[in-house]
Amino acid sequence: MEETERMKKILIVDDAAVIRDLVERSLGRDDCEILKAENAEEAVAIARQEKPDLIMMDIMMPGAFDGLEATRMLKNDPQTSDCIVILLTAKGQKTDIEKGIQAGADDYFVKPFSPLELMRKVDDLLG
Amino acid sequence: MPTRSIGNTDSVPGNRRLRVAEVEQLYGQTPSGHLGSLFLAILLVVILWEQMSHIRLIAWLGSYTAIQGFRLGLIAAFRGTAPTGDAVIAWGRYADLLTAVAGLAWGMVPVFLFPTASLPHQYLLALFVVGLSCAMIVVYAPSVLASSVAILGMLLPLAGRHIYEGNLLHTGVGLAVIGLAAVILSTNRRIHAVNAASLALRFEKDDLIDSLLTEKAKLEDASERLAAEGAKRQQAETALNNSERVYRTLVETAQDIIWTIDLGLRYTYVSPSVTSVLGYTVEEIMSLNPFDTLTEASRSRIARIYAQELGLAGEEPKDVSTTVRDEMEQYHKDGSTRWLEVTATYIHDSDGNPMGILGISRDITERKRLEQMKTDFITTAAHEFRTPLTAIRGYSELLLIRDDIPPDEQKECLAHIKEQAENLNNIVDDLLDISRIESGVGLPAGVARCNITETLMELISFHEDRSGSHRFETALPEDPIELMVDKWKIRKLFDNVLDNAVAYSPEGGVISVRAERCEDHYLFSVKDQGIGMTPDQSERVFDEFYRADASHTAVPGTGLGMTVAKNVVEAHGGKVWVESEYGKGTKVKFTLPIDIPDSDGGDGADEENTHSR
Repeated sequence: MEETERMKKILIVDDAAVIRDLVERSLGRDDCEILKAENAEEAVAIARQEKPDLIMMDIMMPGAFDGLEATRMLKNDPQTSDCIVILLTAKGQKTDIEKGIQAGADDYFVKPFSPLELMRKVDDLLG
Repeated sequence: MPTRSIGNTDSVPGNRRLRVAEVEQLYGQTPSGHLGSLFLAILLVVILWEQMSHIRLIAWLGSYTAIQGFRLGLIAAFRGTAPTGDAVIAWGRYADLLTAVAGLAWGMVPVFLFPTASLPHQYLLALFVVGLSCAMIVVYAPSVLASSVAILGMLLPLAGRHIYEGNLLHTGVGLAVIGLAAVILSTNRRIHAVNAASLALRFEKDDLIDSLLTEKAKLEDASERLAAEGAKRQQAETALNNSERVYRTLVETAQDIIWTIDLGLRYTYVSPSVTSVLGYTVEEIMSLNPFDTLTEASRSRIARIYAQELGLAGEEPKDVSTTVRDEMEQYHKDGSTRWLEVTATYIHDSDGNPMGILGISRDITERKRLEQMKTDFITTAAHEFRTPLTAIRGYSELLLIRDDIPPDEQKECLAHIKEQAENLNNIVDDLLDISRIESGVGLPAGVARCNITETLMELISFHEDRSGSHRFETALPEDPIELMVDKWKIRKLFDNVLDNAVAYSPEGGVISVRAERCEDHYLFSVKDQGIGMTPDQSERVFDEFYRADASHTAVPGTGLGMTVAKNVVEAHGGKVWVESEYGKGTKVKFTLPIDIPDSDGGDGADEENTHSR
């Protein structure tokens, strides 16, 4: 009963506001609470506090550390290790993808991504 | 006086040489003897003229004169022919024959012209013949056989004629003549021997002189050859010295560091360029182990490669002709690092055994930096393109596939698309600016006298109008600033700096623009009341795509504006820097020199007339 009461939370992490907006619109989910962070540090802080169900994580962001490091931190933290992390990465950077999977990411999307595919993937994961 | 030469009879060439010399002596010393004996013959005929038959006397004198004539003719012929070698010996036989004949001719005198009536005449005759034979042993000493025959031919008939008289007196004289003949013959032999010995001595002397001359010639030849060889060696040495000098100059003026190490890994030579590349003097670097100056990472990698390829560290080299090329990071004396591209190969001794390693180290720090910059630039540029492209693609796809988007949200999406397309366009423009500015080394084209004050005021009013909410303060010199600049680039510079000031200032912020004339340049400063920057950000503000606060996406921009500004200032020979305090605003300062370096500085007044508007 408690689960249905609780609204699912999605954290969108990207340094560009326009991308955060695009991801939010692509998901098109009115049933979820959308959280946003514009760098990795902020993402980790919000994730620890809000414990989102899903995190859309950009890799290349300015700041003390990047999206990969944030993913690793969250996946190594028992409190947040259940979060599903989907990486948003630039095309062709295979090493980034490998590193992301090693860091514990559940899936990845290559920019520029298709909003439709993103929506379907998230629907699959969250139901 | 027997000598070595006389004893040397078994040596045929020696005898022949002696004989040749004797014959030459004979022909040289006999003419006066012939004439003397002819004179004696005439004298004898005159003395006997009253005692003997005139016909006999004339017949004898005629015959004798003929003989002497032959002899003199023979001498003349000899001198005319001037024979040499064995040919001379034949001439000796002719002379000997005629000598014997002449002797016999005198022997005829006591036989046919004996003055039987006058004892004094007989004695006189004997005196003539004996005296003549005595003279002969001297004159004909070179030819012992001929003179002996002649003497016997003269004296035996004389002795015989006296003995023939039968009385005691004549017999005594005859026997005395025989005894005398024996003495004369023996003396003849002795004189001949002395002559031969003296000739032998002469030969020895000649031989000695000859051999001395030969030796001298040999010595001269040898010394000539030595001199020639010396000259050749000198030449070779000079050539070697020259070539050594050329190579030394090459090595010592090369910008690359050229070095050698022995197999114990000690430097044996380091070229002086080490000082400009690594800061160490030659003496300092020579006292260090080559591996000491490498960074940790390079050291372990290079040690491994060298051990494998060049067989250092006790291992056998794979191949002594191996050349290894690698890049390594080395410490400068000041503690910073330099990237060096090192090519190393064995040097061998004359037997082909490796005796050390020769290496050339080239400073590729700048190349490495540029390569890294290029990589970074491309990575960052790609990333910068990726965001607007992702947005454009994403929003347009959303609009295409979703029918449920309300009209006002559709408009928002379209606005995002337009905004990101513009952003893309700005990035492309800025990239083009950078490439245009960077391709112009110095200021080759487009330099003209420009009224900077006018340009600046134009731009300030443009930015003031566009922003609407920012206030501009200016403090410029009263006289217009006029500089030789590339006007298009200078406009871009001010535009970018003002744009940044506006972008990073809160609404209603004051932006102050100042310019003042210093000694040889103008100092410009643009100050905002924006978010300011940390020292780290200030340092990186001129890097491509760097944005003071990248997450501060409210501030539009490509991150290239300050890079463009820096390139423009530096292209004009100026300097640019920022003074900033986090949270309190930023001051961008730059200088523009009054005399642009490398401009083909025409007369200022003319330029002004030509270019001012």
